[in-house]
Amino acid sequence: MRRFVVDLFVLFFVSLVIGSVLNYSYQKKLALLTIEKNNCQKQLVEKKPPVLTLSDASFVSKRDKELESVKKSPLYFSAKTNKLSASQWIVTIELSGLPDSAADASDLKIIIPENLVASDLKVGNAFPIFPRQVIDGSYLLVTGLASTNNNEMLYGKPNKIFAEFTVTVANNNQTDKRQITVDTTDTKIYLNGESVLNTDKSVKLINLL
Amino acid sequence: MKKIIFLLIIVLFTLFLPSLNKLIFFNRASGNQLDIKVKLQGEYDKITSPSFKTKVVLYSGTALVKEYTDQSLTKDNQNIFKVTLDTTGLDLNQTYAVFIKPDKYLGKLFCSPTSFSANCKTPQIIIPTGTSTLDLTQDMFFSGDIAPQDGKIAADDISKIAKLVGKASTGYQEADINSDGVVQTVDYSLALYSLSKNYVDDVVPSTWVAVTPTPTIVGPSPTLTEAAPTLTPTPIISTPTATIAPSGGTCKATINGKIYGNYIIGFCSPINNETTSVCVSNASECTVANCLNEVITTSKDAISQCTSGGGTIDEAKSRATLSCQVQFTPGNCIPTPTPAIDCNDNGPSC
Repeated sequence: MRRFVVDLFVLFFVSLVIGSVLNYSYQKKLALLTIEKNNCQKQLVEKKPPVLTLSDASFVSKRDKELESVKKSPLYFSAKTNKLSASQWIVTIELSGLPDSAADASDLKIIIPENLVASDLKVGNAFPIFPRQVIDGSYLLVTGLASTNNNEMLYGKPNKIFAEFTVTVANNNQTDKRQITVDTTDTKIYLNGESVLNTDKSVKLINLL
Repeated sequence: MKKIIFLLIIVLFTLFLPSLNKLIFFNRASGNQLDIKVKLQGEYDKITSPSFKTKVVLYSGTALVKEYTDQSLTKDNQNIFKVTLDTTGLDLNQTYAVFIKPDKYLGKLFCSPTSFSANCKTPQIIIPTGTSTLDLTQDMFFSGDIAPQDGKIAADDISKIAKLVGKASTGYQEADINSDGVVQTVDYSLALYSLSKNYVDDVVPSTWVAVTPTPTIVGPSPTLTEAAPTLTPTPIISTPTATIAPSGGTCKATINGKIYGNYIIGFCSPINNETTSVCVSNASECTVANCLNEVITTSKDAISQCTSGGGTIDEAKSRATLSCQVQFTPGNCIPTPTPAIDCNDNGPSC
């Protein structure tokens, strides 16, 4: 009887050991399979072919076609003032540069001092669209962008008006300077992801005389 | 024979040791963890596993407390994303404001789930122990501030995106705003929208003023719970919340009643003598009507948040059972923080 119990006990342990070894290898294999599956899924996601809609393809086609026809050369902002009265001026900002040059995005930021007020902001025809036209008490910010139209991409073109606005003296303190400054950090002209702003030629200070 | 048995025990012990280890570590209590949910501009329904590296900064009333960089912001549901922070070691008695800036997006500052951006004046977020969720989906994060990020959307961002439209990305692509693997006109449109609105990063105050005279009524903040076994979310009003109103006073409310609602099936959650204190600018704002409105509003927000918009509150039925006892105490209002809504917490049912 004692012999039988010992044999049973040994048999039980041997089975347990074999079972554990098999379970261990099975779990290990399963873990490897899971890792393999996750890697495959990840690769599938990463290697997903690009999905371009018709709108994307049209945009790319127009952009590339137009880029071939434009010359990448520096552009800059220039300013003209027209005195309406002793305390009021119209300031006209022009996008300037060589005739064949172009830009696809441009920001113009002008700092307005406390003694002056900017108003009546109008955008010009240098760019086809101006999605941002902001006059905040202390600054004026205009953004012009390229846009698609039928079969072509319309870029910003030089020697056309970018923006026009009125500046009025808010307080008649004669000692205050009557000038507005261009924020050179936030004023930008870009073509195809690269700056084409000629910082030397671009207007920085506009004196209201 | 004894030797064999001894050897078998050794073998078995060796084999089961890793499992034993696993068991011990799995049962070990994890540290403090805060899941922050935010809402991003864009359609993410069909995009597989979008992820954004995100900077999260915690501020107290007086200083920057902790900055987390390169945190992973991953999709939770549609355009709701989640970032998980390890809050172990933070002073949990402190109230916080949180500034979040995902890659390609503008940064936003939150003082509470409902007080953000320019309205964020006083940190009100309390971080509880354990794992909790802070839902900041009331406001949306707008995109277009691509690398190098400067806190605004400008001509350079738009021009770079326009240049890369049509380009597929095997890895990180700065202009691929929605992280779907290819730069498309939709990425351009997303940035263009933010630019046209002149959105910029929220400004974090250089110093946080402890006493801010901005009298606002902030209602009790509910904790939405799931009543097992019906899987019915049950909102309960648990922790008082307040903002500071030095010119007014404190409006203390004691709330009783029931919140009835529906999420898959109907549910009912009791509110028994829940007290809350809110800061008001004058005594006329400390009314029973205002209190009841706040209870309903916050309950609606909580059920909507915890059920992703799938649950509703039966307002008429709930109002019929609700009662508020209000008491106005003039003088400086003692601020008590807004707790994060814990959608996993089980609460009582009626």
